[in-house]
Amino acid sequence: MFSNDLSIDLGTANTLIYISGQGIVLNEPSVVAIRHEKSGGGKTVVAVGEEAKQMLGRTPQNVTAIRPMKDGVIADFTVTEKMLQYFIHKVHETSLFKPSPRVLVCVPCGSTQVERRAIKESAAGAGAREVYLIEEPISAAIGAGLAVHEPRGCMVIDIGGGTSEVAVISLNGIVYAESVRVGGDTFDDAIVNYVRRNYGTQIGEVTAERIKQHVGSAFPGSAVLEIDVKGRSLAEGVPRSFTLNSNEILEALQEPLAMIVQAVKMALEQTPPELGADVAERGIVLTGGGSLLRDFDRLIEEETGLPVIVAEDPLTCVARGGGKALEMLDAQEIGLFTSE
Amino acid sequence: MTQPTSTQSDDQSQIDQTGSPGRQLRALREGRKMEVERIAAQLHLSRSVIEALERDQFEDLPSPVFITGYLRNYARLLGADPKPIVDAYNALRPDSDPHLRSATRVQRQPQGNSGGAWGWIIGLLLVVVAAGLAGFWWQSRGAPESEMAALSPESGSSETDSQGLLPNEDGDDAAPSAQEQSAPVDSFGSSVSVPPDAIPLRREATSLRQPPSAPTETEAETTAETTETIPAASLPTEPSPEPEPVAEEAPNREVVLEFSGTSWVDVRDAAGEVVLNGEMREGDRRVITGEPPYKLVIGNAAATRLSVGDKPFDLDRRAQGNVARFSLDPDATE
Repeated sequence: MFSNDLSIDLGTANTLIYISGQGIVLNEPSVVAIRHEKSGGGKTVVAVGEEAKQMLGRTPQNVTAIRPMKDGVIADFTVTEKMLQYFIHKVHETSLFKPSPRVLVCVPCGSTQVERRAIKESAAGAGAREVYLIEEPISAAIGAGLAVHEPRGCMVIDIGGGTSEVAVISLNGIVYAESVRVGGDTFDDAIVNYVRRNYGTQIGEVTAERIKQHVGSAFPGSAVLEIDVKGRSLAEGVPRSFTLNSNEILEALQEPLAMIVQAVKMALEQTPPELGADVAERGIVLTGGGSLLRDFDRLIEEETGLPVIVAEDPLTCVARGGGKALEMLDAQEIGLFTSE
Repeated sequence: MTQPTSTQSDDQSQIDQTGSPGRQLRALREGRKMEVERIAAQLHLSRSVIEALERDQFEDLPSPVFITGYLRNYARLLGADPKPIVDAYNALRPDSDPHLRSATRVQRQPQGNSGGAWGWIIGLLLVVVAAGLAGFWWQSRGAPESEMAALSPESGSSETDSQGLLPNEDGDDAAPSAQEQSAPVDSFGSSVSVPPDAIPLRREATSLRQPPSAPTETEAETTAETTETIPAASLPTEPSPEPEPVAEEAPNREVVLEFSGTSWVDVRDAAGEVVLNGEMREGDRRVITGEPPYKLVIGNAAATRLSVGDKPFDLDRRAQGNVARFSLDPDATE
């Protein structure tokens, strides 16, 4: 009755909050819009989440829409705290009192001690009573429905907004993990750069994301998709319209995709043979928003020669897994959590 | 839990129409004239896995998350929509995880929190009741010990005080505690214990103290000191011609404290100097002298009788619980 424990996937692109028994209660972009007061130099939060994302790149002079998370870790401590405060309050809107829940936050396995501490303190500052940290691959594996407690290896690739994690898990623990700072944001940047180089036109982050979602693909497919894009011509300085197709985006994404493939290959190479055999027998599981990129599983499949499956609802795997981990914490199944 | 049951029955009817996932896939594959080997090679799975999928022998295969993935990939390879096939499989699954599936939708359930809100309301009421009881107990048990300790360092040793220390000595004991703040002479002269039959003299002494002239004060102090040392019986033998005119001059504003039980008392004058401080015993009688108005703290108001110029002063009105904290200006009282 009093349980209001939260599992938070504090991602670079999106923040998700899961409450056991209720499911995903919040899924909003990790964006905060801040107004700089002219007098006194103070700052006030104008909007958070979806509303703030609409403002990205469209703000007046005294307002900045920023993403306080970068590469899976906190880039702006104060703003992250404010954002978390807002989100925690939002999911406890109907509560009479200031919420003080137990909070589990997922952290990239490659994050440093300082970065983890920042996340922990930020969650505590946002009103959490107790803060637990869990490494993202374990959380993702639990959320995908893998039996992580079994003495059997399973490989998870979690492609987030800022980082991609490749991990081999067995017996509730990480056998091998590698985190590369390549993710959805890197794909967007790659598209922005490609368009600038080949079309001499500048496009914004939001447009690049739209292109990626509509025509982006990781593996050459039979159908070629097209999208109309508007951007500012660098030569003329005025907005221009042009058409992009999926093959061009595939070309644009080659570099970041190759880095992820490289990380997967490296993980397979480093995995102990018994666990490697388990992975080869059953396959690799993809989670995270990046796995929604068209034919990403085909790419990994072709590159590794192993079966690759995309988890059900990959966007929410990490948050759901964190929620289940919290339940396991209550059931005294410790060993899942990480210290700072 | 009723929701999954209904979807399950929906899916069941769908299966009846289209067949199990394995049969659907096999029909699709045969329709496209593809060999099992080719499918297995393209999906990077072994032939036995593909055959088990087509025969719906899911118990031979790894956990459901993999089977769902295999079915989805298989369907996609055959150019079919994977959703109905995966749904058919989920419906077949006896131990399907409704929690996992329900969680795949973003849902907001305000009613889920309303239970929590009621819990909070009940919790709040409990806290308020507990706080009220604690407050009542606090006030009814008399002066809190901590405060009494602040009044005098002796409060901790009240046991030893009660072991037959004379009131006068008590006053002496109080003096060192007040020495940091006030001159010893002052505290000495102002807290004096007098037997009831010495009242006329005491009245004279206090009325002498009233005028602020320095010589009179010293005279009064010496008188007071003598009063302390002189046995009570000898006191009336020292009549003074002065009392009558002085008493007429200023109306009787003498503040007298009489105790019918043990009580802590702290009296300070207008300057904050300690006039009387210590534990009084049953039968004690103290006359307050000094610069009014006085600040009084009486630990046991029920056992104390205060009178201003022979008129009783209603302590009950000032007492909170059994502790009376108030300031008193004898000149202002009726």
